Amino acid sequence: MIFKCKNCGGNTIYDPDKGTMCCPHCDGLDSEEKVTGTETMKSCLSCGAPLDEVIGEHTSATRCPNCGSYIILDERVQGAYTPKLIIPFKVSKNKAIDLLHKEFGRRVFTPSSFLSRASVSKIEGTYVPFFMYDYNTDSDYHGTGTKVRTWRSGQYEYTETSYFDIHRELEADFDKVPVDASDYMDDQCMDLMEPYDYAALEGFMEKYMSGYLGEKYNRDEEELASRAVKKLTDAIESMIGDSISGYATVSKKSLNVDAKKKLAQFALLPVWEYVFSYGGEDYRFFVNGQTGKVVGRTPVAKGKVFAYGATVFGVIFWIMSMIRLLLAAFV
Amino acid sequence: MIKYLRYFAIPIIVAFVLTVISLSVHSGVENAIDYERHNDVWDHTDCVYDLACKMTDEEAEELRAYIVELEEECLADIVVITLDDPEYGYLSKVREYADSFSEEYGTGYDYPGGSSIVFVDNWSRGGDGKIHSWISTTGAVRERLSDSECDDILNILDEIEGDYADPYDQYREIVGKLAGKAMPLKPPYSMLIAFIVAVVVAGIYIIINITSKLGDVTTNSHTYVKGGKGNLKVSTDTFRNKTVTRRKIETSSGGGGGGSHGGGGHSR
Repeated sequence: MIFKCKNCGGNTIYDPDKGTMCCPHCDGLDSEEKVTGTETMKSCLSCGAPLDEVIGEHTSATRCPNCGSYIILDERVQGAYTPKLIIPFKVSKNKAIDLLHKEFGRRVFTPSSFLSRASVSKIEGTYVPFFMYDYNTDSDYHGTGTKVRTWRSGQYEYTETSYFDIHRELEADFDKVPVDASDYMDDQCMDLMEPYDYAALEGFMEKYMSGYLGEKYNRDEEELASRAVKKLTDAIESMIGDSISGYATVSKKSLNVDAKKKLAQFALLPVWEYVFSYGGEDYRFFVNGQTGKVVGRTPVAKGKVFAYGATVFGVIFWIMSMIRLLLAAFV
Repeated sequence: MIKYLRYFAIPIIVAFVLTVISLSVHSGVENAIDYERHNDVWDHTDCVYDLACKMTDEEAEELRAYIVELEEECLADIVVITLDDPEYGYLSKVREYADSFSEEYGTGYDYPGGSSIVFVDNWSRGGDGKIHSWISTTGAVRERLSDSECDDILNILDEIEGDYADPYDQYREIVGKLAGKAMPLKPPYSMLIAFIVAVVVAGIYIIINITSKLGDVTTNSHTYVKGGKGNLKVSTDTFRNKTVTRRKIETSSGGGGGGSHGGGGHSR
């Protein structure tokens, strides 16, 4: 499907700044009209150009390489692939670029072209597929704690170590633990994108995808449930750890978590992705499309390391030499 | 390039300002120093007495010329004396000899009894079977050349092999180091220290700027817990047992230890 402007026929997109659909051609607001495509769409609904190159196995929304129109693949946002929830983009493209500059602009060893206008303008907004799990948990923890007391008597130092059995039972209900369902997106990076503000969660509407790329879930909720259980187990262990205090050492003997899945909902969450190629390697940077949080590791230009390092060395050596000369006059 | 220059603008300006200040102050102090010799009592060109005949005449002459050259830089008279006299077979005796030399002959660059360094090496082995040496300093040079520095410099004598070796090279090295340490404008640290500090700072700078983390973790254990916290149904801490160990406290004991002359001695 494609959203076209009733006024001019251009491709309307969701504008995060305005919070509504907008036509970039005639500036019309809420002038969209949904045009559905065929079940197996292979060409652009706007210009007819083939879309084979930009439609991958899991693509649900893409951009026509010929006319730049944003196309949503009907069969991949419907039926079993219909998202239950969505958080619409709140951070615009320009804001995302500003956030990248703010985060990485002061890094001295990055290549000169890293945040150049030509490079960074290739940033793309993507709706990443997530499953959100609700779990009720009951946990049983056993551990050993030690308390140590030392004192001196005569020529001897005494150390008394007291051992305690620690027992905790914790009941916790988890709400919407997110696990990304995209193989393309790095799990560690997606975990670092968290948290999203769930107050902005809405029921899925196709129009929010216009102007962005998107994927359907690559794996189903059963396959990904183990990651959710791992995340909530880590959280439970941390909460129990917080309840234990006053010991010199604590060692865990056992932790049994009984996790009952209550609900798993398919959701789309907004992420800006910037891919920078350098030295034959792709460096990926992500900006949370709702909160603006930035994640990514910058590339290093060896020439800059040498030039800046040598200059620091030269300046410090020169300053030390001058201080040496100055102090020699007073010693 | 513009970014590079802008980045280093402040450090370069600081270095430039410091250079101007250092050169001005240094040259001002240097101009205030009296480099003129004011001693007509002591003939400073007669500064090598090889009474033990350990050097050739040519070597003694070369050492003499070298010393005359150094004296103008360190503003102190330098005298080298070799003895082969059992009367001075003790370190205390060699010291007495060295200390009395400057008083007796009026050595001193600035005035008789002023800045001078007298190095005495008595080749006659004493009752303990050792060769004893002493460096005596007088006048202003005492403040510039510490006793411990004299001791360190005299360790060069350990390189002399046997009683019949030619000590010219070691004497020349000793004289050079004494003059270096006695310079009136003595820097508080060497250029090697400046080099090492610069390498360390540059290394730290590179490490700090080259390391980057993927991102900060901004969730916690309660982020997805309904109501913000779990329900701790059971929380018990039960005492099980205790152990007691003892160790003997180690005790340690220790202990620790002036005139018109300074200097240091050495026995080999």
